Amino acid sequence: MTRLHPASAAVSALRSGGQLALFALFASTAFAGMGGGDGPGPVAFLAVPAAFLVGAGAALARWYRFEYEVLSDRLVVRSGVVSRQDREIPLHRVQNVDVRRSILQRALGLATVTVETAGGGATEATLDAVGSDEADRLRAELGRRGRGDESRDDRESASDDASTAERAGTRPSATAAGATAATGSAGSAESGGVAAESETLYELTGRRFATLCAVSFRPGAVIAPFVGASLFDDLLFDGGRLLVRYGIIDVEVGPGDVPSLGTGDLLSLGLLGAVGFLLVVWVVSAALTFVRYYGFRLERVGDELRYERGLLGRYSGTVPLSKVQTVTVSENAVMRRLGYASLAIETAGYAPGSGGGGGGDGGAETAVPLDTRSRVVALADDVRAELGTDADAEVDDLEAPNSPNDPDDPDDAFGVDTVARPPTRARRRYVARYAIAALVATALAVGVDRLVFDLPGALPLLPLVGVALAPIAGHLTWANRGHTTVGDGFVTRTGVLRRHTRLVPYFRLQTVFVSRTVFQRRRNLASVVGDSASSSGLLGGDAIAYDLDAADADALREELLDRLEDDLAARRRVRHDRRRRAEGGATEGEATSDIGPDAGSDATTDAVGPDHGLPYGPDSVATNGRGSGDEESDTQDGDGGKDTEGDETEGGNDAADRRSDRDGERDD
Amino acid sequence: MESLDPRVRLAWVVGALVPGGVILAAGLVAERVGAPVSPAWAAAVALGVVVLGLGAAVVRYRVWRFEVREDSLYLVRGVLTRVDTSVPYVRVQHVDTRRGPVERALGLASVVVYTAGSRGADITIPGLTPARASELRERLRELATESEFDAV
Repeated sequence: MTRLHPASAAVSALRSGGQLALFALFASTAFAGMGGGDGPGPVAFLAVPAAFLVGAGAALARWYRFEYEVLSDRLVVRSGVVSRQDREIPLHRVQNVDVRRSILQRALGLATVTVETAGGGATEATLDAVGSDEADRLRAELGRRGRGDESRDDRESASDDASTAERAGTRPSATAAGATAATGSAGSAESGGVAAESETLYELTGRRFATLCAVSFRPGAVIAPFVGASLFDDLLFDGGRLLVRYGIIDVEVGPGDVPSLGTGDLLSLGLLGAVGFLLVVWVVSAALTFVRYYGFRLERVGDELRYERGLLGRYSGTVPLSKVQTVTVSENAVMRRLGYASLAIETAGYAPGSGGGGGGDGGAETAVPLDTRSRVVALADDVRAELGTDADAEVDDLEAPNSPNDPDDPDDAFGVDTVARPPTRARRRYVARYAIAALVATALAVGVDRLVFDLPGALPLLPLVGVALAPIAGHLTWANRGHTTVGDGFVTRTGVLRRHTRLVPYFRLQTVFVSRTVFQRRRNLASVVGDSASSSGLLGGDAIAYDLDAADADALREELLDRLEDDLAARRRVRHDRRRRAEGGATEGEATSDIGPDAGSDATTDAVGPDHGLPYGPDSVATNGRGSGDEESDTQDGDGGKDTEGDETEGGNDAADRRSDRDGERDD
Repeated sequence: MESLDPRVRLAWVVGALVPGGVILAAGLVAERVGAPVSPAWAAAVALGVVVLGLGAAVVRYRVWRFEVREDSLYLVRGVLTRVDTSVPYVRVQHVDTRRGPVERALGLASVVVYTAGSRGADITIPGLTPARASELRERLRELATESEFDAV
């Protein structure tokens, strides 16, 4: 068992001691004030240091009692001073591992490691804080062991292929066509080298970073003008006076120095205010994006993605590709116009990277904050291909009638026009909805005008413009919505201002819902929800195909269920096959033989032949046939063959014995 | 398709009685304190809530159906928004039977099916006889073949 870094003990002791001391200071001054004495009495001089000692002592005790250890299959965390808690987290349940380094922690060489599993919303284990090197070691270890199934080699070579593809696909000079071509040829690319070496897939630098800052919008920035206005109201007031002095605004000062404005002035001031507001939001948005994504890089280490970002605090984390639930390509209106997009990869862990302090993109893990659409799509397709390796690495030698995952030819899931739009009668719904919303807003404005206070001129009727715009808004909503089913997943698209194209791999589907509201039923429409365990689903990021024809919706539900079954069956088959092959490999090792399975007909290797046949034997007719062929050659060989068998290692003998058993059975 | 036990309507109506009672009680208390609320109004609102609940219970009962299909559990429910749900058995994490106080009084039970999904992670089939509920739970448990893959 290991304790957290001693420096973190010092930090937390100082922090909680300080907090308690501060509290004691306030409390004692308050009591002193009540008693009518002057200032903090002598009690404070004792109470404050005592409180500090208590707080610091508690923190040190917590540190002393907090221990963790990474075992071969699980992470054990023991904590608690008064009530003890032992927590064991199976490593294969770990969804992602995040490492945070705040400014202070960076100065001290510390890092907070959080481990997410799929259960619930809370982080499963927080190690606050360990040394920087230890954090990297933990991340590597938790990540690697997490996916340690017996077919490690297969996976690594497969992921190597894919990483070659991504290396090619993300070369800055590569055009979109080039990128997809490179991905396509990756299947034939030779695999080699060490899979665990890290490789940068993506880096956010220079102009691209500037563009991202300029076009991104952070909802948090909206409050900035209000905060700013309250902080700098003097400045604003002086500015207003300047405007008046130079005659830019004409103000008649009424009684009590309250300026009274004409309608025209009010409107122009309002306009000015709105422009100023938007400007501040924009600048603050850009600044927040800058701080957040400064030095963003996405790497691939083995079969997991690793990101790193942040100017003040550094945030980094890993996303095991095998845990990916959904892949989302998002574009807001500006990005769409400029041909940019962002990519989010979600797991079932709770909002990785947004855990504490980071602030997430609606709970989604941003894999690529901004790039040209074609490159984002290429990367998304690479990730999809990687998701598919489980099923298609060897699915070719099995039968694959509708191989759900074909990395050589990924469907254009994120293309601009791949989705089927809802029927046109859905568009009427959207138009009606916007028109009604505009009418309600008008009614409210008129109500306020009549009952509360006079709004200038025709302002209350301004929302009526919305009624005129409703057809356009309705059309845009309709045009941006849609769904489709591709080879490996269910694709949905929605959103006017920020459009999300979301892919849920079939094998990630949990439940399929078809829902029809009263209004949908009137038009014979229905929505289909493909629920996965993705963390963004908790925040409304589900894959929903809105407003299908009711009959189509039912058909889609059936199709999704069928595809889920097929996909799972294919994966199960591959895994089964791989496991058998791995067992076969182990026996091979014992027999110290490197001869291929087809060498069985050679008389000198007859002991090896069945050995190879074993893993495939019981349910493979062809191998049984070959086994009997060996038997014949054995009898022809006579004593010589027997001697060879005797010289073989135990494994070979076992195999031979088992084979003769089997033959005996067959004779019966 | 299987319907629920008719008595489940009673359970739902009891569910509507609770807010109705709360509204009535709040109205009476407010009147006593001196707010401009007449007990008759409070009673009328409370009655309205209960009547709505009654209507909803009748419609909900008529709509609610479920079926243990070959590879998925299929449910239809919803008064205003109709929802058809398919829960593939491979996705079932575990199955509970549950009996609340009202259900126990009426001799009913519910089956709750848990998946790892983010929405509708638990799906409840109410209004079953206890025997049917445990039978269904056993059946679902049998059907929920242990997925070889991570649940999530």
